Amino acid sequence: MTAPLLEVNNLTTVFGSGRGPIQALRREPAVSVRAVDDVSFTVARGELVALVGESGSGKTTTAQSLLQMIPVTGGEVLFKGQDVSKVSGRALRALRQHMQVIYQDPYESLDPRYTVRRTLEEPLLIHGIGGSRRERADIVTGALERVGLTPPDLFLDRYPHQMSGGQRQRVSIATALTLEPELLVADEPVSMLDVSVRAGILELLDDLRDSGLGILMITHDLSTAAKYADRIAVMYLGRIVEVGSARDVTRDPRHPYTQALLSVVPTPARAGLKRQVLTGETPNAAHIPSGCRFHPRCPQAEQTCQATDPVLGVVPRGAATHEAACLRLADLVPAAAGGDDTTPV
Amino acid sequence: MSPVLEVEDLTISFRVDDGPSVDAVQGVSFAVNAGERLGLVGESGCGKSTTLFALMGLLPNTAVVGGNVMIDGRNVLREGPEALRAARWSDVAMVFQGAMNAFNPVKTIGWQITEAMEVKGTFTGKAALKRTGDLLELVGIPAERAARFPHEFSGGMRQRAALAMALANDPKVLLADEPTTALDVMVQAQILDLLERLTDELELALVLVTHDLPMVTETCRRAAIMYAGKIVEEGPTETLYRDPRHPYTRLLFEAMPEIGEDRTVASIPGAPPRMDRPIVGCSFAPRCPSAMDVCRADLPDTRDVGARHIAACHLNDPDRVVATQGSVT
Amino acid sequence: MSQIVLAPTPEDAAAEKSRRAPLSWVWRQLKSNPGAATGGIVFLVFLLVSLPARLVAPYDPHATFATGYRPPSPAHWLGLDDGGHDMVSLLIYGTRTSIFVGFGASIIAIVIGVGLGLAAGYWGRATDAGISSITDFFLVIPEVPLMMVIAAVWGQGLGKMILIIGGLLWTWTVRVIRSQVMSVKERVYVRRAKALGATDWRIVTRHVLPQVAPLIIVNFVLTVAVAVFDESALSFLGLGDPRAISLGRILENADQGGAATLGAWWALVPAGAVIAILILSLTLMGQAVEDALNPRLKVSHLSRKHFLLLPNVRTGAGRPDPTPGARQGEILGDVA
Repeated sequence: MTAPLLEVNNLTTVFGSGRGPIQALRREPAVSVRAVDDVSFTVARGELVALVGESGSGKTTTAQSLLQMIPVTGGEVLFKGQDVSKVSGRALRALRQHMQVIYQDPYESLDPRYTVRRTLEEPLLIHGIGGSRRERADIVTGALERVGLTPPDLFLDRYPHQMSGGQRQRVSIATALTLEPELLVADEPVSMLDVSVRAGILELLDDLRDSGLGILMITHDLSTAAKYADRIAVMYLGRIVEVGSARDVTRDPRHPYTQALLSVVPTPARAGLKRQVLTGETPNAAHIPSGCRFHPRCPQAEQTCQATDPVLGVVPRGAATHEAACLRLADLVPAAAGGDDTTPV
Repeated sequence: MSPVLEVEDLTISFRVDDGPSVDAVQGVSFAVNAGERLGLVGESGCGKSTTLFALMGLLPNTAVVGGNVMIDGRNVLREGPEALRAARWSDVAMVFQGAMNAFNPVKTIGWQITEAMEVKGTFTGKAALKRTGDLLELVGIPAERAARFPHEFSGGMRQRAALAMALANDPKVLLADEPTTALDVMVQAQILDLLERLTDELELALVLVTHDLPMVTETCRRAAIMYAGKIVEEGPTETLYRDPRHPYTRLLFEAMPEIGEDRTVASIPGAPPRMDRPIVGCSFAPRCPSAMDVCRADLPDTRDVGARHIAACHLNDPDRVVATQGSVT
Repeated sequence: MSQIVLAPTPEDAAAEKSRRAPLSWVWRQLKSNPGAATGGIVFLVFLLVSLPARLVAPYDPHATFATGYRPPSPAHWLGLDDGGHDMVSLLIYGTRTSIFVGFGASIIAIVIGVGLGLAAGYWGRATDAGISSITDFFLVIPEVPLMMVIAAVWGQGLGKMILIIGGLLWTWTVRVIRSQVMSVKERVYVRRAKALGATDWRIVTRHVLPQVAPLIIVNFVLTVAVAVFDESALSFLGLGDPRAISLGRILENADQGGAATLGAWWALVPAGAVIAILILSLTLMGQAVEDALNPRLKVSHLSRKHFLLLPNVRTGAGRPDPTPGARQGEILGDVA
């Protein structure tokens, strides 16, 4: 089997504000925020991996670290076997041709002064692709058609404010596609769009995945992840607490956090089900609880959970690719593996 | 039992300097009883939030409002702006989306809640302070946090504090405009649980405005679906899910992926119509997969289609011969 | 996958085109902001009158017609100053000099200010700290003593005055530009350009600068106003170019010649009035440009007609929705 497109190993990103002389005098500890703490996962070609979590989970920071928009503190990011967390300058710019980002806010991600044509041409001009105007025009029209903005001529001369949110998001995707990237990082690509428009964008990402792109999708919406992702990684406070195929994670969740999350997702089909509403909120990443970071809110927590920090391990009586980081995995195996009693779905 | 909140034929237009008026809300009617939760669902631009603002008298003065709004029997709309202002925050209160904007950043939370009471004269002095503490406890915030400032609260806690502030004067009607949109899934669940508990305990009439239809099916027993300024369907949420009588309702449900359900997720092509032009026929017709000729010509009537279930769609017209292609379900 | 696309209607296309046509744009600005329009027209008048000074002025300003003050008369509408020179001609040449100094100094100020502001705003941290310290240093330098020193060492002259005024005025511009650059830098589309692999140079020139341009224009106009004032003040104090005729020098002259005690108002008041009106007109113009371009700083190319007028600001899922009440230029609701 070929190496995965993207391989993240032990990624750690720490934001430290350090301390100035005054703080040192006052003996205040340096504030350091471990936004991403020892995170590992892979994305293969033609695979859509969803990184799911609430705010403070570190999912966005992880995505930004991949492209070096935020400096990486530790670990490695291997893109096609090459560690890209340490490159800079020209190499980094060249790399950015292969890894593209789709942002959450369709209303802010396009320069309001640029027409669609100019926005789409920009990456080509930056990287020197398409020698003549004719060639570039072909690439641009091709990209527009690929994202469903047809006929392309209708859109080329439009300004962002003349388009709906969904159309703008498609333009963003088209812009990314002009560079023929191999990996797309989609940061909450539909959360700011109207419900009726979301499926269109997600189907587009689905098509792109089918055509061979690797896609890492950051989202807080488990339902979307369940439907479109091949694999799901659930993050909590900088760690991946559960990872596996979308089916396994959503139908047979083993980590108490995943279970709680799934139970509160509104499902009209099973409107009467008991929700497991956790108390409190995700703590600040500057004050990560000792032992298992989830233990203060965990309905299944025991003494050991306060002391020991669990690592990801294959879940008992489950798929080999299904892992969770919980000390009580063995105790909490559902009656029939595949989930009936403990799982709400 | 007569409804605590009754909206009858509400219309809201906005005057525009250099153009025709925008008819944001066109004849909306609904009623909510004490202790009942009604979801007002629609996408952006459908007029749901505008409706709420009208109930609170918070519309700009370019707005022209018509119809009747009865709160506990009193027609606050017809009685003039004074009546609306008097009712605001004492009979009807509101919780907004993103509570960061509900609070003054330089005053403590406690001060602001107390102020809400003193301005209305419902409680003053020591009694107000005591009640502030009680209200905070009621929404799950320790009373001593009243001395803290808004920025010291997390998003979820701020929203709870906003709820406490809304409940300060013991209103009968609580309006919630997308109260959980900017919040995490778990916090969202907490706030919804809180809303449920409060409406049950305090017998509030709750109108919950949101675009999140599945959330409404869990929290509200009834829902009204809005499109382009009109209510296109209203009924028990359970029924709306199992037997929708308007294509838009059905498509809205289908547009949300559901865990455990393996169906295709729908998207609705096109966009809502412009509200500054008169619309001929059904406003949803251009995007409706079941549209017939009559839909483009005539406005559909709002009909009874079941127990406390109404819908405005030609497909429900018993006189029409319904071809299989045109059926809603 | 099908997509119902609402093509812009012919009216939309026509409206958009007319919106962009420069002449109609100017006309609409004038219509909507009368105060600013007045400022612009007044300044234009000053410009047209003073630039071709030799053609417009009735007499040579250096020519003497009497030995001292003379009140206004049909031959000399604003009389003669204490040296017997025609006031009107003096004023015309004076205005030209003041405008010249104003613009000259401003250009220097803007070039330095924008350059430093961009650098400080975009690269932040060390660069910003460094530039901010330099700015603070220059802020403290008092103009008048500096001019005195320079005058004493190198003599007085218009060129030197332009350099001094410009060399100290840029501090104001730096601050303003720096803040705007810092905010634009964080916009998603700028971060996106970076993620696409654009070089800093490209980002600054193609994305940041266009967004900051309106602010630069406004700042320039207002800086000219300040520079004109500075020139007047410095010349009044005798630090101006003794060979040049400027409004400030006219005032200085009048002061030296005792115009006030002698009651020769024509030597004093008109010059002061011209300075004041000139500065006022520039300020109004600056405000006009700011008002016209202000919505564009945040949400460019907006026309209310394209959008639903509802009190919701771009309500999409996940976006916090602040206060109700429609404000001009706000995006409210979204239609294809």
